[in-house]
Amino acid sequence: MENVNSAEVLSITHLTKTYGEKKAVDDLSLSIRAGEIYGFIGHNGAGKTTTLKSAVGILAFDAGEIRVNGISVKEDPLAVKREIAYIPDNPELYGYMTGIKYLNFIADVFRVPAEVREERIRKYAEAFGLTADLGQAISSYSHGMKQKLAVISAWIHAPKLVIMDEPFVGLDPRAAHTLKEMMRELCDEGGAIFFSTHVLEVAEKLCDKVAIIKGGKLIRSGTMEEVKGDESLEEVFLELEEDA
Amino acid sequence: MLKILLKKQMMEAFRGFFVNSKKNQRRAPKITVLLIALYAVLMVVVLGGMFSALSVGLCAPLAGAGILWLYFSILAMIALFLGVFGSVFNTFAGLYQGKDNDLLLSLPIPVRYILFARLLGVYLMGLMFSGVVLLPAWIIRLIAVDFTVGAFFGGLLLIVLISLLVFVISCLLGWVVAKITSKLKSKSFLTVLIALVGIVLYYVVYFKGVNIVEGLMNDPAGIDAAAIKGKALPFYLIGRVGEGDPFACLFVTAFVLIVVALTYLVLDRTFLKIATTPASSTKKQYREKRVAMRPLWLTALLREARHFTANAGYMLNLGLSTILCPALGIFLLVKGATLREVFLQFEGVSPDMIGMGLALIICLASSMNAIAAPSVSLEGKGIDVIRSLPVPTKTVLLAKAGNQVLFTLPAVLLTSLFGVIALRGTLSVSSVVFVFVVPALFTVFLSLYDLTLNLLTPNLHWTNEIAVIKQGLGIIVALLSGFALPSLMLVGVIFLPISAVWLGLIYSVTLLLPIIGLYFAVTTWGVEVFEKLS
Repeated sequence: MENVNSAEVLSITHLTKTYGEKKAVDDLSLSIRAGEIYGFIGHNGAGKTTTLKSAVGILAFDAGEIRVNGISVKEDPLAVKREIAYIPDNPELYGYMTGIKYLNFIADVFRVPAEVREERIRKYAEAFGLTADLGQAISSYSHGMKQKLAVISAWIHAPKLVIMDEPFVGLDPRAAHTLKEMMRELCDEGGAIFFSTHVLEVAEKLCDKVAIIKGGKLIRSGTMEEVKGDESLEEVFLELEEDA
Repeated sequence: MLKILLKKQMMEAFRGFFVNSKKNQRRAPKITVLLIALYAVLMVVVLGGMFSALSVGLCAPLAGAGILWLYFSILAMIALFLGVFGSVFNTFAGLYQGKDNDLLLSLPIPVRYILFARLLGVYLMGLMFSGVVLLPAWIIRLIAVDFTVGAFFGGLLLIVLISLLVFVISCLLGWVVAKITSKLKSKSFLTVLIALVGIVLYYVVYFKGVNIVEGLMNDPAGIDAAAIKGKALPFYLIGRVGEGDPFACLFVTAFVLIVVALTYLVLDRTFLKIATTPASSTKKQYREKRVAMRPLWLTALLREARHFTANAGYMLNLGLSTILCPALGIFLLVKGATLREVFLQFEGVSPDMIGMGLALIICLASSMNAIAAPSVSLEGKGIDVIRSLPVPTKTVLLAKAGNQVLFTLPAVLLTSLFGVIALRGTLSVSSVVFVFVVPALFTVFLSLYDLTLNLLTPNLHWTNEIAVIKQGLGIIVALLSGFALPSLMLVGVIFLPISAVWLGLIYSVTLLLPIIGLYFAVTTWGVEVFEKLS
């Protein structure tokens, strides 16, 4: 479902990022509108994480422009960060905090009022079955529990855009289902999701739009129908990988 | 295989010497050599210098009395104590709690190789601490007395044997400390408590030792060597090793080798089980509780404070002044009147000079807090979390310096208050002001300075937090300069022909100007450095 009339939440234009002599991202442009779940696929080292980190304001880039709700990441990174939430591929959360302290830390940073955060923590922790473990130190959490906590912390300030790097890795089927529901709910409420994944079946079922990146270059993007046509996303992806 | 592991272990421990973390590039070999040389000079000159002075004082009188073995016995005991004290609280984490445990154990590497590589880290740490005592002692003996083949090899053997004994005791005590604390709640605080008891014991032994040494230096002829030999044979034999006595060398070497072999055997048999058993913890029941929203600066500050208080090694290695300062204050309250009378007996010492001296002694006592010195490195791979949040980098960095101030300033001001109460009626109003102002400014200066050092030598790529807390050039420079600056200022109080009030003003301005400079450096250059770290 393409929301042509809805506002542009994320716009990346001519993004270029180099590491030494290697171009990790090369003249990449894409845009995401409110209500869209946008999948970002590509092989390892294709430039997905670099693009995501640049969009979040963690990585400085060499050329191009990234705007979130019209705000430039280069000019006002803090204002951009207030609008978004980011979940890295392997969340290195603060092991010295308990789960609840970490969530309160994030809520404090985003100025989430006490009663609102309380309600959200209750809602999402219950949805992920993490309530009983919130008093435990994060250092004792499994990878999946850390991932769940990272998701809850990302949703705690009701962001307009959630950027996630491989969010389904480590999640059990129930938690993965919960996350998918949360993603759809956020988009239905006018937010947007931009996430990378290697699980093409998930991308195919979940995403409104998809972009395929190879060697730092965007080789195809558009609505799911535009990208895959009558084939499966996996077939298209493999064909493009061979051709490009 | 073992060579690869050892290389990895050394690279981890001394990464700062080889890699520029800011640029993520390998340093030029010349820079690496320069940094290692600087590190060695700092260890040898400052720490070694202290023990060289002690060795010089002891060597000649004991050689004159014909009991040079006692010289080596005393210094070997000091080395043993310092070595064990310096490494015991890091041994367990260093041996068993590496973040790369799963990775290494999943690779086709014999477990004993992993153990050996880690034990080498423990051994080198002990060798470093015991070496700064025994190396100067050995050199001074050869210079001050005579150069014989026996004394040359005996002294060298003593250094090796003592470092091995340090290693054995550190492994055993480290294991005991870890076992005790693993059974308890509030592990970090209890570990600190146990360590503090150890520190008190250390100082009791140290001061008793100083008294004994002073007694020996005053009357070396009166020492009953036969009685010591009879009552404390191991003590005597260790001393004889330093003198190159063949029987003592053989006997002590055999004993130490047996003990090392036994220790290695025990560790080899238990390593895998301990390293792969998760720490027992009672599950804390989560109870929902409403918490008030905190301002951003406080949120950032509390994040740092939580990190500091969650790690016993962090508190013990870089936060001792929080306890040491009030202890000094209590000592002043108890002994203040006597000290004042003693000082005033010296010609030319004014009450205001005592005040200034007090201010600088408080600075010295506070200099063991270097909490900000590893704070950037401790972000580790989790640095992206804070960088993805809408927190200005300036706030993040100032929270790191602020955390050091938080854990130091209250202790410092309390000590100043106790000191002023102890010297009541003696100090002028201006002196009283400086007793508070100079240590407070020093605390702020040192916090920003330590943070700046870490921004100069960051290391986000560690597998154990203790590596960045305990090792690295930045930490050593932070601790040594924290000690050196007030020492120099104290020398100024004694030798500069300026009134104490003027000196107080000069020192206050001297501290204030770098504070302003460092603040601007941290909030401009430091922000850039932090944002580029990867």
